[in-house]
Amino acid sequence: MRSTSGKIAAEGPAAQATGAVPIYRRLFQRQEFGVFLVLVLISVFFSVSTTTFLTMPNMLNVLRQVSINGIIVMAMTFVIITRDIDLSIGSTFALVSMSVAILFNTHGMNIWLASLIGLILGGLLGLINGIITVKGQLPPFIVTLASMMIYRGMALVVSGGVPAAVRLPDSFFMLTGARLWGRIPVPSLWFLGATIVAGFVLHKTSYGFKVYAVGGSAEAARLAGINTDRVRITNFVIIGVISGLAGIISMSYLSSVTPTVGQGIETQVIAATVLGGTSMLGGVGTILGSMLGALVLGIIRNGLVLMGTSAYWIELITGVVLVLAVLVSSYSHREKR
Amino acid sequence: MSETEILRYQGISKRFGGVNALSDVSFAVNRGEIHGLVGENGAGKSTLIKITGGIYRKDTGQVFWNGSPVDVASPIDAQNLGISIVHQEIPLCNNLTIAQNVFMGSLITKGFTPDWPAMEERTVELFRQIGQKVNPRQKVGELSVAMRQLTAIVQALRSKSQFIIMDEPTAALTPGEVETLFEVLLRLKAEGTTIMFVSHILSEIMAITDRVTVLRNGRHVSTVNTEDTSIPEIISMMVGDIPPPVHKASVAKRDDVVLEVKNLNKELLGLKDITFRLYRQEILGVAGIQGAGRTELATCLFGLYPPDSGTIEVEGKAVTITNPRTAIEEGLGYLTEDRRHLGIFSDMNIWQNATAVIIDDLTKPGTVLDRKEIDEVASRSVKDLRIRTSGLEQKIRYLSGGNQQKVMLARWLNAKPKILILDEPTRGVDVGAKAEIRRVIQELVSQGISVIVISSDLEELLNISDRVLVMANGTIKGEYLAHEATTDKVMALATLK
Repeated sequence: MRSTSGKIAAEGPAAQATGAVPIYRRLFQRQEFGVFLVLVLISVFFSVSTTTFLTMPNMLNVLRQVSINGIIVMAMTFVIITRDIDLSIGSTFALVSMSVAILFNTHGMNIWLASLIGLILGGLLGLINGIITVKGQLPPFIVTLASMMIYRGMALVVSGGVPAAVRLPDSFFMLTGARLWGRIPVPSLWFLGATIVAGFVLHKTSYGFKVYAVGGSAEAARLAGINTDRVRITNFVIIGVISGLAGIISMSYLSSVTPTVGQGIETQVIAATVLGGTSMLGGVGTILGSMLGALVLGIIRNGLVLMGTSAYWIELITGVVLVLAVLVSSYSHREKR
Repeated sequence: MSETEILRYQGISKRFGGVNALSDVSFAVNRGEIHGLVGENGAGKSTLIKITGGIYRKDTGQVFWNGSPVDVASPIDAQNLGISIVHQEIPLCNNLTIAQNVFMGSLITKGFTPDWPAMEERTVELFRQIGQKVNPRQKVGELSVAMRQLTAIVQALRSKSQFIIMDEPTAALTPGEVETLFEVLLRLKAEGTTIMFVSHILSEIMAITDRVTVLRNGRHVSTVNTEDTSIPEIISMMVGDIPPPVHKASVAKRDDVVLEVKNLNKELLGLKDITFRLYRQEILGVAGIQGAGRTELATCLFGLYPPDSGTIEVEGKAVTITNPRTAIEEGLGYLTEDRRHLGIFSDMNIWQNATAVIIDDLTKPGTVLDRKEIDEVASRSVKDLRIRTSGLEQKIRYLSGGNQQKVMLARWLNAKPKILILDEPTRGVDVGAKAEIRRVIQELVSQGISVIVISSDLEELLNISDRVLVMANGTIKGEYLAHEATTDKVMALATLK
């Protein structure tokens, strides 16, 4: 991408300057630099203050811990860039995984088919959010706040409030919840895969282009012939499917599911997305930034646990670090005036 | 340092990305004068104003205020010094009253509660000072642009500003309102207030200013006494040497109707019974005063607000336009007058802005963006329209208004429309860019495109159009062939009740 700007720029007198910017300066100017800096700083801190942080098993553990939320962060990036929000992800997560467990346990359905139905259900839940928000011209905060309660209630109703243990066939478990060679957690590979796919879609396709356009100025996008409603609704469907996927992976990893699973993950996911530089005002954000944001939150939790911090303090410290990190990150790429 | 100087710029420079917005600008403004500031789009006027008002920081150089060096680091600093800017788009709270807006920064209080009667009385007094009568309890949202502007001026007076910068104050005013504004400015001048008057309209500069400063490409060209100069001289200082515009003969094909609109109505927009034709390769002007329904007609045709009734035929085929996308599919394009809100994607770069309409066509199998083709299209646009930028990856908000407008034009040219509606294509654009946009329009029609131009600059409209429709009160009052029309005839129709 950069090389083309150099080529065009060479034609104009003002251009040499752009071509001559050294690589480290460009690195600083990237909007992900702030969150990257935070990542490095806390990693160094935990590496020094604990003996266990910087070890292969723990690194893999961090990846596993962030993977479930991290997968949803990828979809949340799309949603927030178009100036929407989805608070119902935790409930979708629960309702889908609960439904899959019931189809599999009680009805003896093939787990692959049950999962497919689960993903479709997730998409439908997202579609409902999207249609009510976009066609009803309502604030997504209110709509998904309501659906957060409704979907959670549905999860409780279908399960009767009872958790379920699931004994999954090996073939399915291997591809969703296992550790490969006893070490590499499969959920983290899903996280990696989701990052690559999301990065490709957001940054390299015309759909991603439209997401930025709608977030930048919905009216201008409409005048440019972009179907803004469709883009926003599609985003809601995507995050519904992805939340369901994360729920199924979590169910597989834990070999169980409760109707209250995933409560509060919306705050974690939104925090990671914003930490990664996605603007709540829309139009700004990258997948690389979101991935780093998810890692930062995961590392803070992991490192504090390793240091033996009490669970009460972990919550508090995470909040403080979050606000500091967002400050640093926004300061580092704030426009010089 | 002369005692008469209130403000002096010494070697001011400012860079954005790879572009020099200002290079080594030095000149002074005298106390109690009306000082004109002119220059093409991209000449650096806005940047200089924003540095003066503390909105931007200068890179190098020094600002002197009353002879001593000052650092204007924020708008509050500027206000404390006594510098106010009346912006083109006036930032007032529509939900509050005139008095509330005027005293927003520093309420008069009685004990712990705001003393509204006192503030209202003072507001009336301040308005009387500039020769205006006002109801201080009126909501600002109900005011005309001209009244909003006067409210902003009164706001500046309330904060005891000695130096008021007027940024393109007449762009949205009627001739009568301009006259009122000038009376107000002369009154302020008589009371010792210094005014910097920024405008593209050189006749106004000649009429109201004492001295004029000309900027070109971020550099100071000259500061001259207004009475010692002339409009042609100012133009040549602004643009350097450019060839005069050539008016080509019409190439319109009067037997080939491209667009036929019959009995179009849209109550929401106040459009009534609109009927007209557009011929192939014609340049059809739409004239009218503010509120006549010109932009409304354009947005209705383009599907932003689909019509209640009436028919639209494109090349003899009846079409139903329900949203902008269907309009584009039928071969229409619409360059908005509100570039900032409805045009540019400010956080996106040049290539993204220039290809937004055709992005689905610039993909490899599937929906993957074809960067090679995109770069080709975008760099061709940059070259054809002479867009001044440091590269395709530059964010559009770092371009000057004129260059942003060219990117918007490129967006629509890339869509290859049959019919292109240009809404105020040269508003707030300087002499050089105006000539260039006119050249582009001529080129478009020679390539077979038919063009509808909406413009408030009547002389220009008569100059570029083959035919002119005159609108008033949401309907078409009549039409003239351009060579038969005069500004008087058109204005007579446009002001019919």
